[in-house]
Amino acid sequence: MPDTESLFFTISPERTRPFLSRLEALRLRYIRRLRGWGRGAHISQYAGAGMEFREFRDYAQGDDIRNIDWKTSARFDKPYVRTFQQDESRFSHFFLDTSRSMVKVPEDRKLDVARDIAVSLGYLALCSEDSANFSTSPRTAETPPNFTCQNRARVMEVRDYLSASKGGGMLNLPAAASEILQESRGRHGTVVLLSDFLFLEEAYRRAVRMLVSHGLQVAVIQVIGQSETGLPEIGEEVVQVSDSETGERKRIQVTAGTRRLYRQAMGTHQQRLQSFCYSMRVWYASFVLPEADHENALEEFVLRQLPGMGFLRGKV
Amino acid sequence: MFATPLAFLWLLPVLPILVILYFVNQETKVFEVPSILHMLALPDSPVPVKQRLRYFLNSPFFWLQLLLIFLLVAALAKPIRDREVRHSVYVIDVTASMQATEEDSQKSGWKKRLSIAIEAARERILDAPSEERIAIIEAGRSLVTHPFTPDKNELMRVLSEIRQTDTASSASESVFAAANMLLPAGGGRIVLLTDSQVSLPASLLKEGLNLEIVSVGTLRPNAAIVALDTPSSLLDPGGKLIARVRSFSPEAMSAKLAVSIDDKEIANSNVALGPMGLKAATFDLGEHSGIARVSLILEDALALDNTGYAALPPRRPLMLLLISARKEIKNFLEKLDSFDLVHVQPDEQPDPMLMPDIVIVEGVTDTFSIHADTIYLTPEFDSESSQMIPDAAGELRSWISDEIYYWEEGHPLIDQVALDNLRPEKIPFLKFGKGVQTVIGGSRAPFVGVYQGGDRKHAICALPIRQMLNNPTAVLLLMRLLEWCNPRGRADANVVETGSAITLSPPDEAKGIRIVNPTGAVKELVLSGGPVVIEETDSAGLYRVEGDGYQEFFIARVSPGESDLSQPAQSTEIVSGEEGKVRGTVKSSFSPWLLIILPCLMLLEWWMFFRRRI
Repeated sequence: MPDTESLFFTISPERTRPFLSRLEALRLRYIRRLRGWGRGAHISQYAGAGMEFREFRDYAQGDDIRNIDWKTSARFDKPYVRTFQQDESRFSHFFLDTSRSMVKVPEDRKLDVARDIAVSLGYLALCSEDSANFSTSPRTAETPPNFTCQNRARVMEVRDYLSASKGGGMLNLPAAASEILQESRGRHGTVVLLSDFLFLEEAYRRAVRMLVSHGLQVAVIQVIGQSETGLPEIGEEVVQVSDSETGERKRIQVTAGTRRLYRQAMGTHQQRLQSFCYSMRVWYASFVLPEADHENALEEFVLRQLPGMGFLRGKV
Repeated sequence: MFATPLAFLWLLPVLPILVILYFVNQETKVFEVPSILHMLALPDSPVPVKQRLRYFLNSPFFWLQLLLIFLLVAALAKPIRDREVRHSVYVIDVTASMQATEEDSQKSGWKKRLSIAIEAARERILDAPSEERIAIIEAGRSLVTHPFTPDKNELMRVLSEIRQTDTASSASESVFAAANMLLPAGGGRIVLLTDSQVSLPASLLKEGLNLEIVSVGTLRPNAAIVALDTPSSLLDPGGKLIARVRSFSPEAMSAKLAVSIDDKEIANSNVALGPMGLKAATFDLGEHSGIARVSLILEDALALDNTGYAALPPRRPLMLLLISARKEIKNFLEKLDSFDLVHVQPDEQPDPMLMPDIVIVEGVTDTFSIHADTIYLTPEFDSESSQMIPDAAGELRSWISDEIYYWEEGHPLIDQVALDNLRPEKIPFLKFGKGVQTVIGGSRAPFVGVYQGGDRKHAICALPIRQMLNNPTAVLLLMRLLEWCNPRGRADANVVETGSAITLSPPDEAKGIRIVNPTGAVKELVLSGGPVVIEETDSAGLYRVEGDGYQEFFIARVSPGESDLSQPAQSTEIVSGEEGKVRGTVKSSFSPWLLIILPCLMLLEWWMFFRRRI
């Protein structure tokens, strides 16, 4: 096991090891019977060379005689061979939104928390001997399009990959979903979308539909910064607010009425996202960052909230 | 202080425009947020008036632009202040004597006084403080003034373009001009670089003016041609040229005189001169005609006073037609070299192809014919009717019929008889046609006329012998005609000082004249009758004036005061007043500085603007 003390961005080194230990007791939950690939920790629905017994069947020409169960054959006076469940690996993809809105307010640490969630869930996948893919968008020219890892010993490389994206630019989620589909190459698995989802409804609808229609199990984790829960404290002067990604401007005045309207708009947006996820049988979790003590909140979210909603489960 | 304070009126329209632009502008503070997704539902709020006012009053751009406008208007108003600087005027003598050469001790050669003066001025200007404002005056016939400037490169350029002249000037006049330049500036220093003696009236140097005289010459005594003469006599048509040379040296010296006519040397002579001596040298010119130049050849610092000129017209003996039977007259006239005598008996008719200048007739035979292209006669005579025209006006008839008889009667004013009236150009002529013309010589009265045969003009005078012998005025008339046909040479006849105007009287027939100056430059003038005043005589030497059948010359000589024979000035410094205030004031403008600050402020505003946007 490599030195993982500095694995997370928001969790202190001394709390990393206990957090990982508690994580190792969990695994990603698959609500569908998915077709995996290669060898892994998941029991396949297909017979193979696994350790777990599946059934007896009649001997057929060509079967390995080492698989003949002699006791059963003697009892029924007919040759039977023993078959086993095949162990298989699953495809997991963790997409991280690194647009400018994720880093606009540094105090919120939205990108760091999203990175830590991605690392945490990726670590779980690696512990299950699944293939874990990581991708970010928007990317700089120097950032690789994705990073694939199947060995948890390389988990620090996941951290390095995610930290390479400093944040900036404008997110195009449908385009990012297309890239994910290309990377999956038809394999089934889970896709975790980590973003603030501060863009138009049409964009996330298209992306999620695209992923689900290709048989991928999708989880949406919305990271909301503390500053986004209300209008900024700028007095009662009329000001112009500028969108950090699109540059679009709007002249507003912060009053009690506009604060109320803002909260309503925000609630509506979240409700529509949640409703859409439920309708698509997509896991949805919303993580509102606290003003302080991010690591406790993060641990609470990963170790309690995600298992509580069924996205994670204890090891069997 | 502002030179044009009215420029501040520009603020009246400009300032309200700026305020209105800021007031109308609804630009407010900009806050960048992660996303305005949830704010799109909020109502669009107009900016309240109070906030707009507060916005632009708190805006650094507003105040910066206000400052920019104010500075721009202030620059247009031309702010000025008085600054005390030192003023100097360098008066450089560029007159003829400054062409004299001086021994250059450094380069073991010879250098003109003007070059020495310019070099001295250059050194002083280069050593002057950088803020000193210096003007330069070229003191020739006319004062060429270069205005005050602190730019030493410009001053060096002016010094390098100073050219010598052959003219003279007054030192006091140039110092007066320099003082007039300095006094409005509050005073200053005059540096006069000259080789001439300077005597200035005490009133010239007023309070606040310093005068420094820098002498650039040394006394170099030598000789000069002081006079030139061309004497002639009635009986000697050939010319003589007499040059008088004076030595100004306390020691004996010898020089060589050379005479050339139309630039061809025809004679020379050595002249030995005693201390301060005067000597005349005579040259026999014989039949030579043209422009004679007499040059004194000796080692001299200034050659301008070593040349004299004389114009020598062609000379010829007069043809005299004697119609007389009296031998004693014929014998007398035959002895005179000035005449080519043709003798005809009274009962003979002279050859009409003869071209006599003078006809002397006897008895009643007073009609003869001459061959001429054109005959001009005084209007008293009608060649067709051979009669005098009684009522014709004419000075000649008056003179002949009145003055001579008055003289016979012992008129006391005879010495004042205007013999000039006999000059052909003064006589109103009648012109007759071409061919053999019959002219009537009166037995009662003479006549005078001119006729042209071939390319020569002849004066003609027909005198009855009776009158000639009894009337001495007739001899004067003969002499006048002889002189007209053979005008005497003119040595330095028309002499002016360089730079002075000369008046010439070309004939009325001349439509234009060409003036060729000593440097060969030609100037043409169209004449409208009357005398001509020629003012451009700055170069010393011979000026030729030519027109239709007219030739004249005059000589521009340098002023005697410009000779290198005079004692140069002594270097001295005259300080007026106690200290001689040499620091005047100038009005210096700030506008250039404001115009430099303006773009800097604009750059600052742009920088602030872009910095705010980033």
